[in-house]
This record gives sequence, structure tokens and C-alpha cells, in this order.
Amino acid sequence: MESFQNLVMGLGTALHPVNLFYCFIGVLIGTLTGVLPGIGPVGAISLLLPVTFHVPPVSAFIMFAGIMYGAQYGGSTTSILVNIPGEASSVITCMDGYAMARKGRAGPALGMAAFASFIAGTGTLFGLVLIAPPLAEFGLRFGPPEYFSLMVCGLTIVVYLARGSIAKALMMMSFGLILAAVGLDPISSHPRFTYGVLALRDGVGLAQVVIGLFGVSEVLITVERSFSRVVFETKIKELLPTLQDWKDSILPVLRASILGFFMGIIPGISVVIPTFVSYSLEKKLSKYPEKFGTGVIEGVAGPEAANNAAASGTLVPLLSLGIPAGASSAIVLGALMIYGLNPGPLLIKESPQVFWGVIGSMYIGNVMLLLLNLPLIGIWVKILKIPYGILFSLIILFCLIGSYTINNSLTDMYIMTIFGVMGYLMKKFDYEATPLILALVLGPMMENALHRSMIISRGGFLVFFQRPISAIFFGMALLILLSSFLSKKKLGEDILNMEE
Amino acid sequence: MGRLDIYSSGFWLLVSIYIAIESYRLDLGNWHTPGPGYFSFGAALLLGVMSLSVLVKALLKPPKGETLAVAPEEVRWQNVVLVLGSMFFYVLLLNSVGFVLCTFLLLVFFLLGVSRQRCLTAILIASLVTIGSYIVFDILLNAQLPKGILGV
Repeated sequence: MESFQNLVMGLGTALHPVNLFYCFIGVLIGTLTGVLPGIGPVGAISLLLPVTFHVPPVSAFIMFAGIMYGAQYGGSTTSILVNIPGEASSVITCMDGYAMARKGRAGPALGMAAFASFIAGTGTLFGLVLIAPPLAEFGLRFGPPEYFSLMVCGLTIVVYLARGSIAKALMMMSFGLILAAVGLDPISSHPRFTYGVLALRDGVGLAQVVIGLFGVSEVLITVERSFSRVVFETKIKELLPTLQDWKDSILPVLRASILGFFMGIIPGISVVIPTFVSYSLEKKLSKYPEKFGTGVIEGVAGPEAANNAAASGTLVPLLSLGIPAGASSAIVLGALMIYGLNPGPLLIKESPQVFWGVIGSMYIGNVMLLLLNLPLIGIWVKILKIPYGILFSLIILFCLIGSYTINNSLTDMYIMTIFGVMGYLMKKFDYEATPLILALVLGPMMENALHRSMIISRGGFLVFFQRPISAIFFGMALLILLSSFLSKKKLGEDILNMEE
Repeated sequence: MGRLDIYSSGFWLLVSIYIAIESYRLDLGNWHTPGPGYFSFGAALLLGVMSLSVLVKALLKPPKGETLAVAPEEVRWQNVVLVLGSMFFYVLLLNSVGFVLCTFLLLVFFLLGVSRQRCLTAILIASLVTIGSYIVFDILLNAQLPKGILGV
């Protein structure tokens, strides 16, 4: 009952004209970043971060949430029409979505992708409302050792899910932790690795690193190849799926919603993995598994529901424990701190209008997306036809402006460019950026929790195993690491094989 | 990935050694009261151990051949160098030349030099994007972009 009252309050906040405007801008930009390959929600949120410093925190958060789930809607358009996923979470949609388009059924594929996203996006919000507040209450029992071990567990999951070598993922995680140590020491205020550069005293900015690693590196990878991109020419008609399409899709959508939501909650899993798991599951459950990949609508409906449900799921640990589940929620976490909010178990109690306002806005945002996506598909296709030769220069320009406007600092632009080069080389040498980003975000929190744990325990590491919750998290982390070293096959490898 | 792994893990091993030494200099403290270098030292240690494991594995396994995403002969290295070089120059000149002129020149360079658009198209797109981004970021969002020699 209390949740219901809070939800009504949240809807009231979300329906405020200013918040409605930011919600609309968020879902619009989210869809656009989903449609355009090369710039994802992480890059878009980073670029917009400095702009939101003048905006009320709740409005900014509403916009960022809109970008996060809006990108999941947009990503499917490119997968279905061009066979190029706008987002990693839409990779699997290419298989049956593009096949459907080639059979002249692009319309129902796009329509079902939008409807599945809508059902999952709104349905899983109930899960968010039910789980986040009690989890936050539970989180109040967490002391520094529990927080430290939870973050260790989250990082271990990210490492385990890395698509390549575990050792390389651990290397990137370690480097992220080293980067997180740059700046003033939280206890003694002693400068660390700043080399006299004033801008580094506050640490290496997350937004600059993310823009470089994801935005610039993606452009560099693309400009080294051919600029040509063929948009499949087809008349998109009858966007509404048929009754048979609905019969085939409704169960996969419901299954994927539940699966995606719960997988999204686990830090490190984020939105990509659930789409692959959903696809495999539907294929296993199907009466005609051999037809998967030839244009069956379940192959579109399941993964598209899964990525939207997971986008909601990632908000659970973020809003209730202050733990980001992926790169986009990591940036949002950083933003919340900049706004002076206290992300963690106390957020719901201290800033209920932010928590419930965002939840309320997500209902409205999902309706906006449904109304926006179906009629605007033609426009998204036209945008896709912008030659990449022109598009890349815009992306680079926005990356440069975005990194400058964070602190009006040229040093930030240099840092962003350096990480652009690094991201490019990491792609060439097969290193993943996600463990680095998550470690960079969690690093300061981990260091703080470790310091405090050591003080509590008078220097004894056993504190992490003597407290039950902490011991469970550490145990899970150890099990995951051991299992990945002992077994040659990992989930990440399976996914890599499927992508290929 | 054999040879590539040797290069990359060798690089990270050197980074880890450097960070470990610097962290040690910062003061590691003790278990009870960790010093400023404590956390980065631990991370550097992990980085070093993992780099060493990748390096040893790569050295022991004979390379089966390069598996770069794009074969080296197909890679347009000049595009990558041009984009990166122009980004560094853009940052270098931004304060003195100013946002408007610098952005216009950067875009014209990208469109003519990298994506080989026609001259008129390049100038037209560069002008529109420069004016548009100036209006959005400087006027509407008050981002205070550098004025430079043009004073706008």
C-alpha cells in the first residue's frame, strides 16, 4: 500500500511538465543512440552529463533512465533493417529480425520489437517497485566489509563474463582500480599519480574515460575500414503483428521479461547477456528450433523483451545499494554523486522524489517510446542512411565538446583522446573495456570500504569471512573465479560463439 | 593472438612494475592503517601477476598467426592517424583559435581529408554543424566554449 502511494507520488513528479520534457528528450536521444551504430547510451549519458549540472537531479536522472531504456528500443531497428546492431544488446536480434526483413516482414518484426520492449519495460517496473525498497532496507545492515565483498563479487562477475581471456579481464579490472586511485588519498589527502596536473587531483573523470574508450575508439575502428553501409531497401508496411505473431510471441516475451529483469539485477551481467540467454531458451523450448535464424518472430520478441527488462533490472542494485550493474548505470551513479545525492540504501528514504519520480517516469517513458517508435521508424531509417563519412565527424565533435564541457578543461579533452587511443588498441589487442570501467567506478568505494574494514578489524582480513553476508559474497566470488579457471568453457565464450 | 599477447602483456607488466614502485614510494602503511599507496599497490600486484601469466602462456604457445579483426593490409591506418592527429591539434588550438573557427576547420578537414566529400558539401555541412553546435552548446546550454580570435 505504501509502495502504491509512493508510486502515485512518483507519477505526479514524472508528470511535471519539466520532467515530462526531460523524459521525452531522454527517450528520444536513447532511441537515436540505439539506432546509430558507434555511439551507445554510455557515450550519450557521458556527453550529456555536464549539461545536466544546471538541471534538478530528478529531471536529469529521468532523462538518463530514458536514454538507458530508450537505447534498447532503438537498437533493434538497425538489427532488423541493416543487419548491424545499433547496440550490443541487439546483436542477437539480427539473426531472426534481419531474416524477417528479407522475407518482407520487416514491419511486424519492428512492431513486435517495440511491443515486446514495451511489455517488458513496463511489466518489470513492478519488480523494481517490489524489490528495490526491501533490498535497500536489507542494505542498511551492510557495513564496510559487506560493501567491499559485494563489490568484489560484482567485479568477479564482470571478469567471468568477459568474452575473451579471464586473465586479460582481470588485468583491465586491476588497471581500472589503479586509475581509481589517481587523485587525492581519501584519508591523508596525499596526491597520488597526479604528476603536478591540477585536473588529476580530483581523479580521472569517468565520463572522459568512457567517451574515449567507447565513443572515440568505435569511430577509429570504423574509419579504418570501408565507410560503405547498405540499408536494406524494403517497404515497411503493416507494423502491427498478426494474431499468429502474438500467439507465438507472448510467452517468449513474458519469459524473457522475468529472465532479463533478474539477470539485470546481478552486477556485471548488464543488458547483453540476457538477450543471448533468452534466445537460447526460446530455441530450446520451441517446437521448431531448426527454424531459428530463418526469421521466426520469437527470435525477435524474446531478446528484445530481455534487454528492456534487464535495463530495468540494472536499476535495482543502483537505486537500492548504490552498486552499478554496468557501464551506463556506473555513469548515472557518478552523476548522482555530483548532484549531491547519496546513492545507496538511504537514497529511497532521503530522496524519495528522485527514486519514485524515476520509476513513474519509466512508465510514461515506455508509453512515449511505443508512440514514438512505430510512427518514426521511417525517420530512423533515413537517419541510418546518413553516410558514416559524415556521421563519424559529428560523433568525434560531440565527444570533444562533451569532454570539454565537464569542467571547461582542455586537459579533460586530452585525457579523453588518450583513452580513445587506448580503447582502439584494446580492441586490436583483444582487451575488454567493461571491467576497467566498473573498476574505475567501484574503485573509490572499494578503497573506502577496505580502509574502514581494516580499521574495524584492526588489520585482520578475516573480517570478510566472519560476517555472514560478507562471507556469502566472498564465497560466491571465489566460486565464480575457481569455476572459470577450472572449466575451459565460460558463458562469455558461448556468447562470443553465438555472435560469430 | 600469440605475438600480440606478448607485446601487450609485456607492456602491462612494465606498467604494473612502475605502479608498484610508485605506490611503495607513496607509503603502503600497515594492515591496521593503510597508507596512500596500499590500494594501488595491491591492484598493481594483481595486474603484474596476470600480465605475467598471459606473457608466459603466449611465449610457451607458438603463435598460430595474427587474428586482428581486420587484416593489416585492409586497414586504412592513414584515416586513424588523421582523425587522432586532428583531434590533438583541435585541443591544442581551441583556446587560441576559438570554438567556432576551430570546429569549422576540424569538420572541413574530416569531410575532405578522411571521408572524401566534395568541397562544397564539406563546407556546407561543416558550416551548418558548427553553427548548430554553437547555438546548442554555447547559447542554449551555456557551456562557455572558448571564444578565441573571432571573439564569439
